[in-house]
Amino acid sequence: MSICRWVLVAIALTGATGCVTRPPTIAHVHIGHALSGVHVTPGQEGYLLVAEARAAVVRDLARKAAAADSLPKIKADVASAVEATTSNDGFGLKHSLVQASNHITFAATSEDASTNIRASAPRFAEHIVRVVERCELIGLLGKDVAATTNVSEARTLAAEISTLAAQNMSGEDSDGDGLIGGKPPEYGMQQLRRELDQMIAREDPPYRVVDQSYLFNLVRLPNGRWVFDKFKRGGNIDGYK
Amino acid sequence: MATSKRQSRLTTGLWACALLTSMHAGVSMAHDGKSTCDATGQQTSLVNARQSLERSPRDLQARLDLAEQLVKASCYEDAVHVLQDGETLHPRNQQLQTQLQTARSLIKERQFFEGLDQAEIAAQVSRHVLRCTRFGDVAACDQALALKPNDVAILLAKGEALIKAEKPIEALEAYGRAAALDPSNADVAAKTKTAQTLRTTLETRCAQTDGDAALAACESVFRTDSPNGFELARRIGVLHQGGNRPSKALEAYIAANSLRRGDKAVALAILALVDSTGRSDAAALSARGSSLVTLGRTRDGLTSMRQALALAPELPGLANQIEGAERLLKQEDRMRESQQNERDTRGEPATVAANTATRTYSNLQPASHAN
Repeated sequence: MSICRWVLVAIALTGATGCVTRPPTIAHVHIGHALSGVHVTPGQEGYLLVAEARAAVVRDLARKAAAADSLPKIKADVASAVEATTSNDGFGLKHSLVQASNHITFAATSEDASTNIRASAPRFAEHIVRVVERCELIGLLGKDVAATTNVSEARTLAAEISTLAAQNMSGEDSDGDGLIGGKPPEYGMQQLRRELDQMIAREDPPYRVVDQSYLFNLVRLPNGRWVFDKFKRGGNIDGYK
Repeated sequence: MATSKRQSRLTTGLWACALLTSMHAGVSMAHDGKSTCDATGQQTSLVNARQSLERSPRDLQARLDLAEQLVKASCYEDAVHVLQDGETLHPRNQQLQTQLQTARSLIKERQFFEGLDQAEIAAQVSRHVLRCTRFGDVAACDQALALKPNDVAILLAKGEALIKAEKPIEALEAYGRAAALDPSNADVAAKTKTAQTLRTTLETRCAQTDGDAALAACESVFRTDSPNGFELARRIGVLHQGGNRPSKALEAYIAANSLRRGDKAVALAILALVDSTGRSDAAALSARGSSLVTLGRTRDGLTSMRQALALAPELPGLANQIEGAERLLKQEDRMRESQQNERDTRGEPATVAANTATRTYSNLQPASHAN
């Protein structure tokens, strides 16, 4: 009987231990908004995931545009590629990536941020610039495609957009050293993802995928502190504004 | 546009809240993400805060107040220095650390926005360079140079676009600028030679052929300040006349006349074309007057030039021309008087009044290439 009692106590204790999960740090929740999920994006995916998906869509559309023969087809595909690149409301590549960087920065400025995150966030913000630049250029060239009546010019521009879109995915070798994405001015989404993965791997205590209830219920109090809404009312992501 | 874009970036997220949680609202609202340090203005509050800290360097509140004023003035680096100096005096002070962290974050924020702005500018330059090099779009070259005026690569691209457009003079200007920026650039020297060769080819085409091709060649190498500007302007006039474009021909002859006065063929053409086009504006009247003087009708020329002066007193060089013509007229009058006196002494009869035209002028066009 006493053995049974001890077994029950042991089970209860281990069970209790299993149930008592510590909430993630605020810094990790902000990182989760970039890497896991945030309730304002399509599919409530993290900003970086949205950016990666958009980069792939842009690459495919631009490739189609570059292979098209007729001017209307080139224009239509380029317009779609530009939309997926530069749209703010539609969470285009540029907007999503900048938002991802913003949230990494939020993490870095949280009181509970690790030294690792504080050091890595500004670097990441600096390293997204080349992708942002390509996005801007895609937008400008897209306007030129929309304006032209010359199919040859449109084809040349579409090919250029296609190259930029591919570089936004995989990076480029602008200095001709044989390394694609070897340095930040050559980065694409793959290199940026690797950089964030490396930042996460360095976290101590380790970063764990943040549960949605934390991701979607982060609240900023009037005094500026971030806390979790116990009543799970959806957080106030608007607090970011 | 740029401001609203920046504001929209701010409102979409980032630092504006998290960074500023520990700062006063006034500080955060004053910050636009890319302000520049404005301490030179020496606002009273900033001066007071600085003096207060100078009086009591160990006073934490005075240090925090000065840092806050510096942040308000967007002098984030200065704020960081003031707070860092306080770290030894007030080790582990939470308020100082928080304010220091915020000031550092604001520096990073500014760098972030600068990076995005630079990305936007770099994209614009790339777009313009692409259009300049691939499509020979000279306007795009100029747009790129407006953003990066001392970029040798863009100047070379512009030169190439201008050579494609058969505009060697402008190309030479672009290469000249490139050479001044990078004198040892072999590419610049090679391209300059190409432009010079093109210029010679076009000058030959201008002088030795006819029709639109010749006219285009002349116009592409014509510059008022070039040594052969007069010859080219006159040739353009001839070609326009040949193409039955009297207004344009007159413009070209007026240009030629302004570059070198005294050419009788040009003067004749101007007289004929002013009459045939019916132009009576100041430029046309001035050119007519100058042409009449060239052809020996100084008094008529003066009348025409004075009419031009009445219409446009500021017309360049006109007042000087009138002065010159008046001097010439006096000389002519004196010569006539002296000739008359000689005749009188010899007992010969008086001649007809001097300002009467002593010869007639045909409207013959100076149509040959030799003109």
